[in-house]
Amino acid sequence: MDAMHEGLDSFFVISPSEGGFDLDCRHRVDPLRVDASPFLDLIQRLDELVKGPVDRVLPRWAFYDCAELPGAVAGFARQARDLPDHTRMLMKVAPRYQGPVPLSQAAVIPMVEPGSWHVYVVASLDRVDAGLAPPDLAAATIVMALRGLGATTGYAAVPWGSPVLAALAPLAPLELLTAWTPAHSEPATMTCRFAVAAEPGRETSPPATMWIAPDDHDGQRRLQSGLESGGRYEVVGSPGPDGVGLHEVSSP
Amino acid sequence: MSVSDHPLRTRNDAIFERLVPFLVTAPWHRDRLDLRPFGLAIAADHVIDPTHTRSETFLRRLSVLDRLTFGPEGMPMPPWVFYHAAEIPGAIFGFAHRVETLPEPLARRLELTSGETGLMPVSMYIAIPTRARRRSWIGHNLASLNRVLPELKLRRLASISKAVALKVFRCERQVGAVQWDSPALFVHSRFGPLELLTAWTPAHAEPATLTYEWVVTDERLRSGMGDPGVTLPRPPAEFEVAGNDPAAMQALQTRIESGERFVMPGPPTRGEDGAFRVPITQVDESGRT
Repeated sequence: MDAMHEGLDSFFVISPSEGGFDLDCRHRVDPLRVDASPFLDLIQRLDELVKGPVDRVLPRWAFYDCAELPGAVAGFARQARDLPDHTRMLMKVAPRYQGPVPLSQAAVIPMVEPGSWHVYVVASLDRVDAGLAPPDLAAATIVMALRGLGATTGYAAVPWGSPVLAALAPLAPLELLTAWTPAHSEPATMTCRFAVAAEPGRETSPPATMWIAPDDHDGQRRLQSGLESGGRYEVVGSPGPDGVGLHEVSSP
Repeated sequence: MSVSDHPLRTRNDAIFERLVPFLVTAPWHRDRLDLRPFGLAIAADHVIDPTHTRSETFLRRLSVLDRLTFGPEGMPMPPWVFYHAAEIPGAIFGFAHRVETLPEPLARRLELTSGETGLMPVSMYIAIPTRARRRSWIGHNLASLNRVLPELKLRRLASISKAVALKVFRCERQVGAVQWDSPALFVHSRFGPLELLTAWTPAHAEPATLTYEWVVTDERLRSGMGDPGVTLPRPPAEFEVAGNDPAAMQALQTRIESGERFVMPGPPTRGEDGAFRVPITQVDESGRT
């Protein structure tokens, strides 16, 4: 797994109290221990850096209660000594800290159905500055987290214009579960389910037959109405200039 | 629902006369949950689907319940956290009052406007499954308007909501995190001794937080509800940790990290300085005192 991105180490923040996984990762951080605190500070700093502008920063208690205890926060890191000064400053790495610094992370929560995991929060430093991390790091992080935990099915809820959707869409066809989501702070959010493949992105997707732009709220509401009437749709392929491509699996 | 229709016995059976149970669960979980916990039926139209737009009003009222329970100084959950960290992976169970039968002054305090109908949730327990152990859940929000609406006489509503919720979720082990100075300790301790996983928790926004776990049984759920027919064995306290003593919490955390095991055998008491005194007992490898 560490070979996925040269020079980066994989990590899992995961509680041993939930039983063991034979996790293939370089760094395993136990959130129940006090000595985890410096690394958890950096996890939160990365989230603040990436999410700050959209006011969707995850409170520290929610990281603990809703990810680290029940599931995991997984990602890629680099040793502090190997980071450029400006990255260390951006991440507010303490001068004496010698451990790994997360450059990407995905917080994932297990679901009632065995093998199903919800991708809760995704952040990667390339969204702050393209030169700070590889451009496909978010997608690689999601894949590493889900496959590392033995997931067979992934769920996610992302705003239509989110870069996270661009990271998810190439991995597999995304079965649309909601298209307009008043339960979310941002109703222009889609909820989806997807198969976690052994080789993500290899599955052939059908061609898109319709497109939804991030600001096309009327279109999102129509699509939601179609879902609530029994229609089935898949997001196919990466978002393009016309928006997100969809394939109608069955009509309402 | 009449009390005589189900076998529940609690410290406040009148709750079942005045309130109705509800469940927020996504369609992909629904069949895995118990919709008749302890024989208490959850009506089909009180099972709320968070992926459907018709649920918007009820879900907004859950946010009101959260805010009124914990206040501005608490840790309120924005709607996106509700969705991501409850409704997609887990479930929310609670009790609701019919809006039409709420006295108008109470309705106003609950931010309801004239003409609104449906259900107003007055309690909720939110939990999500954990990764490895099947039927293990983490509870991360327990809200009750008992103190906000004393007129409704909802004593023990939080404990009863948690107990029935864990039955709905078919939970066999529950994990939670709570602050050492939180009145919620009284609620959680009603379910019997709680083993400590942490005593000082920098991973949490409030480091003075303890993390606990316990094995869920019907007997312990009934104890939590205040069933007068249930008495749980509780070991005597060996020492106490004050809710305002971070040094004692850190010392206990050091012992936990070195492999020692401890339980909180019962509820806290209040010291002369007003701070909680939380009883603690050491247990051996098998969990015995």
